[in-house]
Amino acid sequence: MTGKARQTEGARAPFAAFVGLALVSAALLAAPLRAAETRAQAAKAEAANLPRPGAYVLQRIQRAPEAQLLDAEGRAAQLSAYTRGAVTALAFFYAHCVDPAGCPLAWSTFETVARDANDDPLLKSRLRLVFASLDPEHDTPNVMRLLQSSENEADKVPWAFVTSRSLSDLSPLIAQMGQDIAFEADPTGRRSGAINHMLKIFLIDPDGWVREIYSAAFLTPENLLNDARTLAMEFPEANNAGAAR
Amino acid sequence: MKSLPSRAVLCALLLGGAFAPAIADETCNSPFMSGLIKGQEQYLHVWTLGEKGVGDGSDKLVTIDVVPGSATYGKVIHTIAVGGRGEAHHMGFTDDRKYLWAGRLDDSKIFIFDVGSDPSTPKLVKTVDNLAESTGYVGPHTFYALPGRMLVQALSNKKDHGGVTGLITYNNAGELVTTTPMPLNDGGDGYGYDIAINPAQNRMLTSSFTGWTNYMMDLSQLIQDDSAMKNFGNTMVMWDLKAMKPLKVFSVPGAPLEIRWALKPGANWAITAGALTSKLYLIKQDDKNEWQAKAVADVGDPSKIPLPVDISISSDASSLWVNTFMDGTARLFDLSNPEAPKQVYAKKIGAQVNMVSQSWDGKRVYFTTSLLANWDKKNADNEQFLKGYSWDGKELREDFVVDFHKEGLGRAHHMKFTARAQKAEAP
Repeated sequence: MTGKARQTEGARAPFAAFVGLALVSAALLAAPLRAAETRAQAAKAEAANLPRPGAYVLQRIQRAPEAQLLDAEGRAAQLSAYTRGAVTALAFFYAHCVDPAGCPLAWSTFETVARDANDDPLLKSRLRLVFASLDPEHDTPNVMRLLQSSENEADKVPWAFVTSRSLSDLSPLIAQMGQDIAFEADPTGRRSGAINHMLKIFLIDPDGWVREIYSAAFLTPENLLNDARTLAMEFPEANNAGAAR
Repeated sequence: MKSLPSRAVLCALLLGGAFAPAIADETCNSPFMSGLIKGQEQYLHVWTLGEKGVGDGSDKLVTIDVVPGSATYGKVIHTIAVGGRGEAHHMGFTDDRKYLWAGRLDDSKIFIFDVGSDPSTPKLVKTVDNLAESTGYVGPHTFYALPGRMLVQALSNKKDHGGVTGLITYNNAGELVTTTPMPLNDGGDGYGYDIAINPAQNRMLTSSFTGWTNYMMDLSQLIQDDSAMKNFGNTMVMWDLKAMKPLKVFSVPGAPLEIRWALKPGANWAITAGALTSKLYLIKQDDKNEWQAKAVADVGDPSKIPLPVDISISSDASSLWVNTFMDGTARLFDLSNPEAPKQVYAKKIGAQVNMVSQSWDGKRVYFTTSLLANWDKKNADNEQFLKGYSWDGKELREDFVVDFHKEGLGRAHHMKFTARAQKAEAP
């Protein structure tokens, strides 16, 4: 199966997770992600001619800041618990996102990365994936728990879903990470649903340095995996065993 | 390896002007940038050189309302002076289009403006004033967004003010990340000018111009200096973007300046203009998938030294605007066969013209005039303006003019568009 085919197939999983969620209490969540499933295919980037893992250096772009979050059980958690000790791919998302160049693309990319990393001895014990919500109002720990359970089988690399108590708790983090967001509003100024944001995925080394940032123009599983392998070779002691799921 | 312009060229330069830097327009933005304006741009920002005796004489960012029908259409609605004259030159947006970085080639200062909060009134939020000390390079020219970073192509170096220079990577907070020297091996001359990236191929192209000593010299003095005239770039470099390693140096004589990748899906080629040779060069893979650079067209009559400066490619890669400074003319080339571009239209814009910026749909085209303070034409030929035109596929029709001298502004250089209602979208 090609990387692209696998990536497309992967885009179905969030929808499946939300179908389960819909059975419980949130049927409205399913429709947006179903739309995303089909539209995400339009936003695929290509990446060719990548250098060999370990044959290049990823620069230290910025420090990953500290931030107070909530894990999928609703417990207080520091961001550093998710960005230290292992090679971490971190993406900001929200469950209602339907922008084909946004969260669905990140999701399908992460699914492919998780699957490939699971088959790669270099990454299986060193890579961790994190989705952090931009929408604490709607993305409660309960929602995070459902998503997390759908993406964490026993032998896969850990994929954590975290949220925040409030937008005010979240704001300093996204500002420091350079993740710009804007809430769509109706004429009265009330939020009308969408959170416009430029997709960014952050690859963070075990010391907490952001070493690469991906936007839609250059986001492919192959690219992210290549860089993750480069960091894993730089940090052979990296270990995701204690990573929160 | 370096070829010199002929004596005739030098003499022609003496008559009134010269070639020099430029980049602009919606189609030349970094592919990593979000929020491309594919509809009507609302504001046009002009990075303007202060001019002695004109207004306050300071470099400034000038904002013009370009919404047709607006009460202030074609008028200056905001200016922000940054103090002094440091050879204001080019600008570039950050990846989220919220901040505009603007450089000065003389004192190497970089000004970062917030244009996201309210694009009608940009605000200066940071000044980077230690580029030379922290990197060894001077003359920040091209500002090219990478995710979370700004890649800056310098023109010169602190040590000897020659053309050997490098690339500088900052994070979006304006903190230095790393520097990368331009190659001096395998045919490299170490010079730099523009940056253009093809993300799908993991490839970056750079071009080459000249160092501080030359671009700050009075033109009439420069062109009589045989030694100085040897110090112009004659190369382009293909890089592995991820690794930031040069892969191949192309011989592209005569200061290749602006670089534009074709934006049409699947079209893996780029085009540039050689200022001194008055030629368009195509960078494209051959039958063996080897990247090659070759001359594909003359711009005007090279023997008359038209001096191609800024270029602007249409979003479908079907045409290319090429400004020639010496005759103040905008020329449109048909690129339907990039191996053989053909000039299909020309219009005189003014006594001198440098920058050209077109909207994404190509229906609006804007022109400004200044090259470098010491290279602009003199006296009455030193026209300084922004002109906005409509393009219907056959004719440029003038919509408005802002006279930068009458308005007390200075020398009009690089242009960038903003719009108030931007929505994040895929590049």
